[in-house]
Amino acid sequence: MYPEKLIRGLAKKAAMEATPEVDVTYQVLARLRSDYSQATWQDEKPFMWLAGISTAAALSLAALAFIAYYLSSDPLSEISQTIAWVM
Amino acid sequence: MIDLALDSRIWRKSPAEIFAGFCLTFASDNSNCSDLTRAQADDLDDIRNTFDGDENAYKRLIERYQQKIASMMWRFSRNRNTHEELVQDVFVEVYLSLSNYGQKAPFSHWLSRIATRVGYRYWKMQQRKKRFDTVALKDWDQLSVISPENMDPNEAAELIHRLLGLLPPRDRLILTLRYLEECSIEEAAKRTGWSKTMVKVQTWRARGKLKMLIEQRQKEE
Repeated sequence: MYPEKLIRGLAKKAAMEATPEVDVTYQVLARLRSDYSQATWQDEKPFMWLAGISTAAALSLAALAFIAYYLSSDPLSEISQTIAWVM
Repeated sequence: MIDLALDSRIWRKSPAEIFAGFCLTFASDNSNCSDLTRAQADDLDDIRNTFDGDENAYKRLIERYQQKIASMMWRFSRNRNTHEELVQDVFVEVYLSLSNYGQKAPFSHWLSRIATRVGYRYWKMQQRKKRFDTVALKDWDQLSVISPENMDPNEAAELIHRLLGLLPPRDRLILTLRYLEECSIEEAAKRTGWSKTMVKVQTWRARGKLKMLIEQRQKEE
């Protein structure tokens, strides 16, 4: 059979085929909602990095401030510590 | 749900304005304006409500068109799971592109264009992965003596799907639209975004390639 005639014949017959029923409403809406939460998370990603870096910097500064305060509140502590180490 | 960029110039119209606009746009093409445009006005009303954040409006649009889209996507994949995923992809893409719908054509036409794009993209992806079904040897033997009239519709659809699958996605698309979807040159041009001349040339080339492929394989057997 000539290919074009064959294809036309097959296409005509294939048109009679029943298409499977689908219901994608729930899945589509769920995907759109998850895309939204993902998009929101992506939007907030730079802020999360900024918050992390700020927290690390603040903790380091707090530790330094505590050490400085400890040293300044007891000026003899360094001398006593050195003596203790020598002895 | 993802917020859509609202084009207030288009989407702040009232349903009556939309309806009147469609009558003016399509009255010259279609004498039965009232039935045609009533459905379109419903679509536009639902689209407008979707923009306003009404999830049920988009749900209605999906429910209205999912079976039509399912029929179209069945031409692109006959695997049930992939088919359902493709239908989902179409509606996700439609939702994300909704702000680009300019009411120049009925919503269903615009939807069909997106579905065609999604299906075509799927075929191109399959081609890159080299995951096409091939026609079994016994089918090649049958081709010369086959009589489509006596075939089961499922069997015929499966065979034509595999035969067209021998072609590159571009050729496969145009033959699917012209033969299976029975699109005119103009409709095929709208669906693919190609010019009418391009559709004619592509159809002619694709037909030639398919003929050559079938004859070549039959000689080999």
